[in-house]
Amino acid sequence: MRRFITYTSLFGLIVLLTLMSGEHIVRSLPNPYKHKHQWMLNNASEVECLIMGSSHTYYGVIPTNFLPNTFSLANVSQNPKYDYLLLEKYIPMCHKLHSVVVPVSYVTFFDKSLEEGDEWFYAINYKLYMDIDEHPNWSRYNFELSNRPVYSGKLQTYFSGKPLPTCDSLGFGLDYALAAKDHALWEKNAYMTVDRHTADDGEMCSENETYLRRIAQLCCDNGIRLVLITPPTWSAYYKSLDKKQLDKTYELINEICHDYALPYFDYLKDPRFHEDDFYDCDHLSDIGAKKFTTILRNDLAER
Amino acid sequence: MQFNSIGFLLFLTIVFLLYWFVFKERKARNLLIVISSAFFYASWNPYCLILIAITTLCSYYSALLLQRFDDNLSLKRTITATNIALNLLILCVFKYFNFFAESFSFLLNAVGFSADWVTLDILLPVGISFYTFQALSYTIDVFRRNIEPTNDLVAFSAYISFFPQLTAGPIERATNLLPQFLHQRHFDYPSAVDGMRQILWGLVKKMLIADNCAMAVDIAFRDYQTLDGSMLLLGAVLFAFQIYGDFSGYSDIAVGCSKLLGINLMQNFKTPYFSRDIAEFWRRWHISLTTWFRDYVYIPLGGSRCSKLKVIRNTFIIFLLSGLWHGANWTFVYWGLYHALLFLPLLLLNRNRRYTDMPGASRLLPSLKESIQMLVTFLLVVVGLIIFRAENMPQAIGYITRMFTEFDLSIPPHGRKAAIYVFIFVIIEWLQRDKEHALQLPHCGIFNHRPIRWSLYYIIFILVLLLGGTSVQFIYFQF
Repeated sequence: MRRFITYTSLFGLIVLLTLMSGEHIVRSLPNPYKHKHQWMLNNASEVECLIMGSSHTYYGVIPTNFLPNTFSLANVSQNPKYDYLLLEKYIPMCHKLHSVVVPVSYVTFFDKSLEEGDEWFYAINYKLYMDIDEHPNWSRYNFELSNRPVYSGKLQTYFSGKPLPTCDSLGFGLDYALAAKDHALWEKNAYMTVDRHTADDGEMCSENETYLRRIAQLCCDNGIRLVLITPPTWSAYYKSLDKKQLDKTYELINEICHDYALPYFDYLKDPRFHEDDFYDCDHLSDIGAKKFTTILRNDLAER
Repeated sequence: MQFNSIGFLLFLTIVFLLYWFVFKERKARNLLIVISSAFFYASWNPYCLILIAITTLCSYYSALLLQRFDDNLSLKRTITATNIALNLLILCVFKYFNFFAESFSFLLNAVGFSADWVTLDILLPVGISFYTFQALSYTIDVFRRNIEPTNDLVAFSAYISFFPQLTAGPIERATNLLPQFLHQRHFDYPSAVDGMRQILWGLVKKMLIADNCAMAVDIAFRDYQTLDGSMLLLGAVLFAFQIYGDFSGYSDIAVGCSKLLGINLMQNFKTPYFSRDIAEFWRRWHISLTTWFRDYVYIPLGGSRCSKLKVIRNTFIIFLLSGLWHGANWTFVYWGLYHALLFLPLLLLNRNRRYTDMPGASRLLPSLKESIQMLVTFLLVVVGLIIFRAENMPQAIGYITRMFTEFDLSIPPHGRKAAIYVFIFVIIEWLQRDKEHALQLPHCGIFNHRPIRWSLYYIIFILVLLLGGTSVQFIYFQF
């Protein structure tokens, strides 16, 4: 028995050291969260406009083409809770901040908590790289290794020399170039995407609405203009949306806008966006992002 | 709590240490097994503990009643039949109620009657098919006097709920497993080490093979109406390895964990895809289930020692039941029927026990004849698995039809990485086909040196970690 325990422990230690080395390598790799946090620490005092939200704005609004001194704090699958936590953290550093843009899409109010869904591992990035202390130190959110496929994917990419997904210096996502679009499947997948975005019930509405209201209140308390937008989507997507969920979304948006006197821009079915403007049915391509950023900037200037 | 999770690793480590260092007395160890198994099962759904407790108590007391009324055959039959009926009733309600209700409703509608049958919103308890059959085998073996009933409730509970094999088998026999709980276990170093290796090989099968095949299989079956034949064929072949890797990987982990605790479980798979005919396949695939049906259904019905008509009847019964055991869907029934039709000719011609040795015995490569036999058998199994995997028969027929009619030699767009892993896996399994698992390395040559062996295990473990697919729940948990 002693021999067994000794050898097993020794082997286990070797494996553990390997895993820890892998953890160290993965954490040292560049990633958008680390970049955004570092950038904010160094430049927050100069920021005048922040783009929040999920992949719809991460790939949809280009800071360099938007208002002066804009930075994107949007991240893939970021929900209102993390929008609020990031604003709560960074607003005190942003002395010149006057505008915050938050997207509210078909899925925003109905989306499950990040930690409960299949994309729970994104929550790791906030804890490890952006200092958002929502989870205990010994939870799964404190280790890249907790999500083995992503952990091993990053290591494989690193050892193969391929570039990792990244953003530009002002936080805009660079992965959705038109050249990389899957022209065969992009429209076919619309139904699956809508199905994924349509909730069985409105269980999460209250929580997500609460966070949006907190964002509104936070901006109001700091004299910051909060702008709500619904980014553009392709017809195959918006024609398949569940009417009940869509109506409820608009109802909640209107209530919040009314309560806090917020401007709202709805581009869900905007006819100015064509096939090449989309990377997939609900995300803009780099071409579309350029167009959308210009349109949004002009619309904001008129209001 | 999945076997390939950090949570299970911690759980197993704690149980192992408590088992050998704290609970040294036999009864205390059995109690630890029961408590840890309850904890393990409760991690899926705590309410299902009630069901397994009912099954355990019914079978336990039924056996004691059988002993008490040992000289009254009629009463013994009644007790046994009642116990079987009760266990099967629980199984049917939780697993088959909606299936039968909807099928009955469909039948009534087809003949012109309007029927809106009630369906129940019931969660299928994990592993119910496995532990129910395990409990039934005990009662029947006591009735047949193959085993003495035990009055040690804790040992019996450990036998029913033993966590490594609770949720997906192997379906153990009381004659094998129960005596092990009735006797003291002693730590056996070679067995424990072999258990660790078997767990590692199980993880290879599950994470490297099964999980990597899963995505391509999902695409093939979801988009079969637009994909060409080569992709559909690859999808079907990958599903064969997904289900094999998943299920036999689970069995390996279960057997390996048991070895760590000084318990020996039966081997559930013996490289079934190297079978030379369907009869041999069924002697190598899910052995615990097929032998269960043979001993408790087929043989009592008369087996092969009756008229040809009854042999045919018996064969169809066990294959249809075997299909139905897998799930509440007509596709499983048709899958069973398909295999019955393949098996029957061999049985009637007395050619069902032609191949009882290992293929390619004492040769490095199989002969040409064996290769053809294995390939044909494998393809027949793959076609059956298409029916097994499909959501309904129209999908299965559509898939199979398109696979043949749209077949070309184009390189499939998905699953190429998985195909490479499967190819390497098959070679390794072939080279180690006479072993219980592929990591039972010979203690000679380079493998005689611990650093070499450890390096190999280390590389395998790292490869599993780095190349393992996205975790998918073990397929057989749904059965």
